[in-house]
Amino acid sequence: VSDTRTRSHHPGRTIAIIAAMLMVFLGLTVLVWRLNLGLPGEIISLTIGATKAILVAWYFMNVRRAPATIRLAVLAGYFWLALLLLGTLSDYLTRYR
Amino acid sequence: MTRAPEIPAGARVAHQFNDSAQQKHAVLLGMWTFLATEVVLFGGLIASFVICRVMYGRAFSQAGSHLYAWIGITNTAVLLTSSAFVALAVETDPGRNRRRSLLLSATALLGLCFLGLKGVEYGLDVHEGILPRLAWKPEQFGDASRAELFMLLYWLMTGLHALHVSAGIAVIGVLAWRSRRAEYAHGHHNTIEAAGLYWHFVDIVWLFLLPLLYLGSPP
Repeated sequence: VSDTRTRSHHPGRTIAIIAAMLMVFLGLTVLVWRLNLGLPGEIISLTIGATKAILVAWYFMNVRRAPATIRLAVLAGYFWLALLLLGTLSDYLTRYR
Repeated sequence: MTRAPEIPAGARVAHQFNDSAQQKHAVLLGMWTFLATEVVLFGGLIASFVICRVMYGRAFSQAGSHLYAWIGITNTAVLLTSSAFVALAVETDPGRNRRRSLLLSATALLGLCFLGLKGVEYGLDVHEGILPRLAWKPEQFGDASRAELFMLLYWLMTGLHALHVSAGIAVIGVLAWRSRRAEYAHGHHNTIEAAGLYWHFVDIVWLFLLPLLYLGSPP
């Protein structure tokens, strides 16, 4: 198995930029919460949370430089999570309304 | 008879691997597979919470307003910063042991900060009477039985997460100490990269707990 990863010339700079973006997103989450938008606000907060998670996985956990087998393991985890959430919610959201 | 040159622990290729690249791949794939099982563990709890949130919207929103949202927000910033430090530690050149050790120590310290703040918050929670069964004051809630369910899930999810943070601090702390002893000086710091993946995962879990638990209620 060959290691397909290559190191960027300024990894520290990329990490600093991503860290700053994550803090901006955290600020946005707080702003949305303070605006008290109700259900849409909660959905926006969760979407921002998911965006932050993708940034952490892609840049900090180096999924962007990972070989195909590792990407498959990552996708498998999230695929099962999606099945769990969609399957359960599709039942509860329709049965109790 | 000539003796083989001394190979540092971090650079040793175990006999079942062809080379260090294959070994590194196996270590990282193993960690990602473990993390996939962790996704399902936390996913089950998150799914339970989301279902209850949908079914008991008003009661859950009211119960959530009893949490200390600013502590949760501050802790998010602490964990995000610690993630950046561990990412820098992984990217540090193999020869720079002191820098890597410092970055890992800073990560562990921020982890302790997180636990400290969480401990203060738990203390305030107990004082407020929002610990089901043990320190529970039902009269402050409109719908006490559903509020109890919210709090049960809150303690379960944040408690399980805090256990993960504690394990992460122990692992990162040991790696900081071993880095200082120059045990990863030869470029094969697979252990640091795998531990880093675990730490980032713990951070990601918190990124979902914050909006679900703390920010689902009006400020």
